[in-house]
Amino acid sequence: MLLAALLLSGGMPGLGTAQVAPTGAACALSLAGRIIDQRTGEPLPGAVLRLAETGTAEAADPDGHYHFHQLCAGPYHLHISFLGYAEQVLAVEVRGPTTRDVKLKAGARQLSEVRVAGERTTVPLISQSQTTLTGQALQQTRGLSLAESLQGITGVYSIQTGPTIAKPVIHGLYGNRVLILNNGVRQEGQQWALDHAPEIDPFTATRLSVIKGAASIRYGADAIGGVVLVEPAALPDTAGVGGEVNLVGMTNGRLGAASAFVQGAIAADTARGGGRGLGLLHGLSYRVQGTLRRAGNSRSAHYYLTNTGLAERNYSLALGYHRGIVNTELFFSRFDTRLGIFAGSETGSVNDLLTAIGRERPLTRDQFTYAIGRPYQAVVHQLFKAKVAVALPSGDRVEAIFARQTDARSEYGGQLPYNPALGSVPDLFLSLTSHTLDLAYVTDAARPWSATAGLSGSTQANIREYQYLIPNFRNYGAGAYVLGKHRGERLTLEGGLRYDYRWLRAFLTDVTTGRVIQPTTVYQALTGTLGGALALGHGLTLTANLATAWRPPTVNELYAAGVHQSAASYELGNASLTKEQAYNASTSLLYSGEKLEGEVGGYVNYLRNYLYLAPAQRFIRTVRGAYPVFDYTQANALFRGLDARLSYRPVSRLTVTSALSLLWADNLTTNDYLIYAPPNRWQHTLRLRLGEASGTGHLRGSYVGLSNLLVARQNRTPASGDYAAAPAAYNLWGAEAGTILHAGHQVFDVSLTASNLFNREYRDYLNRFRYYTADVGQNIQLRLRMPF
Amino acid sequence: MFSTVKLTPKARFWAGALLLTGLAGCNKDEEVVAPSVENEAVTTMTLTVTNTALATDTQTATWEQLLDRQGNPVASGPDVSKAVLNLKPNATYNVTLGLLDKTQTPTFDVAAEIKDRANIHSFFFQPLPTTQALIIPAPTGADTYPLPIPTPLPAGAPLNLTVTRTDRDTNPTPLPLGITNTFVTGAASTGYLHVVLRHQPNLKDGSYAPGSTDFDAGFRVTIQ
Repeated sequence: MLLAALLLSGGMPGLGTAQVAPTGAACALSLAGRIIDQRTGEPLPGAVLRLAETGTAEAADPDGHYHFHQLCAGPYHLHISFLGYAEQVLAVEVRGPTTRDVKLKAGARQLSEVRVAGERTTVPLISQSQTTLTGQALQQTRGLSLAESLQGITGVYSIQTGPTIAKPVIHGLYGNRVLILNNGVRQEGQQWALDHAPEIDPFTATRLSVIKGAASIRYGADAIGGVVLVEPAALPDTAGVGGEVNLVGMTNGRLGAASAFVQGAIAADTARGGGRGLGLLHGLSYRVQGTLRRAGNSRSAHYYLTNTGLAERNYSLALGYHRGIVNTELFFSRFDTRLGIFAGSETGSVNDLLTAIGRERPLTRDQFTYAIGRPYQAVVHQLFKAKVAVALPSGDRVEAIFARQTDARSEYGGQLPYNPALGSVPDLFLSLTSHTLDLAYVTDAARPWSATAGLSGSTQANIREYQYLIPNFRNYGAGAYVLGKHRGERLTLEGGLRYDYRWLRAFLTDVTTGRVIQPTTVYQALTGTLGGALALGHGLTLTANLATAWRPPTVNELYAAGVHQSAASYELGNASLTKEQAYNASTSLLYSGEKLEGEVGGYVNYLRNYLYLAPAQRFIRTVRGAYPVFDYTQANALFRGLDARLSYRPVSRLTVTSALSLLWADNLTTNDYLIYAPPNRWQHTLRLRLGEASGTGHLRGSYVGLSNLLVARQNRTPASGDYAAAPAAYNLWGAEAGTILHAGHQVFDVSLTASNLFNREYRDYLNRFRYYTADVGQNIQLRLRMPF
Repeated sequence: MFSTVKLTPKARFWAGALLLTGLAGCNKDEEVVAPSVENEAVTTMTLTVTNTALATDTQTATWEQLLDRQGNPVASGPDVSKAVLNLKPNATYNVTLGLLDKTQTPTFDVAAEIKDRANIHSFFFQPLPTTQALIIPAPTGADTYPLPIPTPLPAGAPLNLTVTRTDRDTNPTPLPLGITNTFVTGAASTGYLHVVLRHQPNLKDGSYAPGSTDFDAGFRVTIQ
């Protein structure tokens, strides 16, 4: 009986499954399903569905799902309409709980694929500039690391340590000034170091969002430059099993990536009296996901970069349970990577570094291999998340998220330990365990006045072994915030306040006495935001935002004392450093018209007590040679910038996009430019749609494109603090082509992308390995996506 | 089960969550501080010099830089008090180079390991002052010679010392290592000896350029 019921309810998506309604429950039936774009498979949130027989209308939710309840058995006509798509009328026979997915074909006006369609409840501040990568735009970044995926967004750059390690830079700020939220949880993993890339698998996400601006009010400390949100799709709630397979191949590094997920649900049963024997299993949904990524030595324009391979194995599991008004979600992910560090970056002293800078190309073996040898990094990051959301009858919502993360980092130096008894141990081992608890009360977003109030608590413990780079520590944090929003006809206003508290205790051995000391420091901050969005009419929207943000000093800034090998510097921390406070003002003008669409935004970010490494004008000598000493110190810094993006469609098939990112960063205390500010950048893209937007032609969904990236030379460099002058400006061409193939019911989304098409040799100012080698050369990437 | 909606799930979960957070803070592993261990530490270089003609003319010069508890060089700097060689003119000496790690107990013999890894290491010797082309490049910019060699090097008569490395590694084309050497002295003169250990995992080709420096020491040499 149970098996039969399972087979009946687990029907293929898109096919209606009908069961005989139990007697006495004829008017408690439901009709539900999902509205998706026929071509791309993307959900269409906000699509309007109307049942002609009852006159009731519903809008599809952010994941394209719709539900009609309390229906009587019988025939219905379902009218589905959505802006930009041809209206459909479906005849549906409702005899039991019915599922009907609908695929809408695009109408005459095509919507741009990069822009956000619909409002997202995870981003409460609409007055700050936000860009989302989803759908096809995200698909074109599959197989790249998180920072590399975000590079095309205006105002976003990446700071790299060779080809395998990249960190996102938002408005010139990086490291602990960019907060990364992995599935709603703050990513914690020694992010204070430039050569520690975010330990996140972008394949888990269906949306990558970047909030540009001070966003501490909602997320707490560290969100000074902005926030990167890595969001997976919500778990399915319509019965059935589905999933997707992604395959990526790249010529540079001979990278291969494979990622797949399987997800399914046992539909939430709304008929009174319980389901047909499944009982408690109704409302259960799951997703199992895994990724494998492997690459060998990268290649610059003319030579291979020895030991720059990577090997990554990740998986994640999600389980959801929706019962009545309570929605529970459990999530576990494991990220496991080994990253080769370019062999030519090994320096014994500043003399070695200066000699390397003087060379045209590195003195390393010019050979390809997949083998990863020393030096390399091995990182394992595990995240466990439990979320409970209760939808209250008033329309308000209560949420609680508990998360536990562990980050284990091993750094293996260029040589095996001299003592063979030790075996192959790392030079440095760091293990960070973080626990966080976030509670939020969110009022109904549909009302004109809405608010969010929340509390968050966290604790972390760090343990080190082998080398001393940063000490052991324990910290506790607490935060409380309130955000309010008023949505008017044309003007939406929002504001909020937040209080944060941080307690930090380090455990280290005193150099002179040999005893363990426990310095303790406390930091607290009050941050606020005020902003608004005004619809000016004629497709124009103006947004403006004033916000403050902060971050406490990190352990390396307080207690570092030692040689930072890859940077050929001796770094000294300062235990008396204070918190960094940022004051941010930003404004944007958005335009959405028939042929033209764009966003122009400017911002000013003043950072009081900006923490950075300043040259101490003296040297320290170890047995390997001399290292210049750098002190962690504070100064006042000013960041001003402009992000502009314009997209023009002269004819419906052709789209021309131009994106400009300008930034001026100054160190006001030393009256000089600020070091490592991203250079100005101008990107152009041309895309031609080959087939029809809709219909049944063979070229439907096909396109070709050409792009050009111009990166200027960073002339605004400080007088001292860098070993080599900023590299020359460079110009890279790219090309792309894609199509959608059909084999029966199976869709194959294929795309080919070429970056650095003409194999130009260049060096980037924000790549710390530019001292030793040129950046990567031509890379042709093939991507295949198969949803099922 | 979920008919009374407001209090039960919330209260239950808040209690459970607070308990979990409380438990999270109970683990005190971070209070145990592991000692700082440098896996590839080298603290001492020794040159054991024996006159081939006169067995009693033997000496050991030592250059040492000890590390503190955090793995950084001790504040007093390198100990160069015994980094002195007094050689007789017009003589030939057999020289054995030693490397020790005094951070380990007992003191670890690093030179024996270097011999096992001969194919990716190379010692270079530079008598100073010299009129010939430098084997080890002179320091540039703010870099300095290791003590006791002064920077800049004072002008003076060249040191009449010729160093020949006599051992070989097991590369396809055997290249010198530098643990066993021959010093040939000429006329009386004074000067310094710059000794550098290069780690050359890529392209050890006999020249100084590839790789990075693992040890950089200096000795005062008097030939009289």
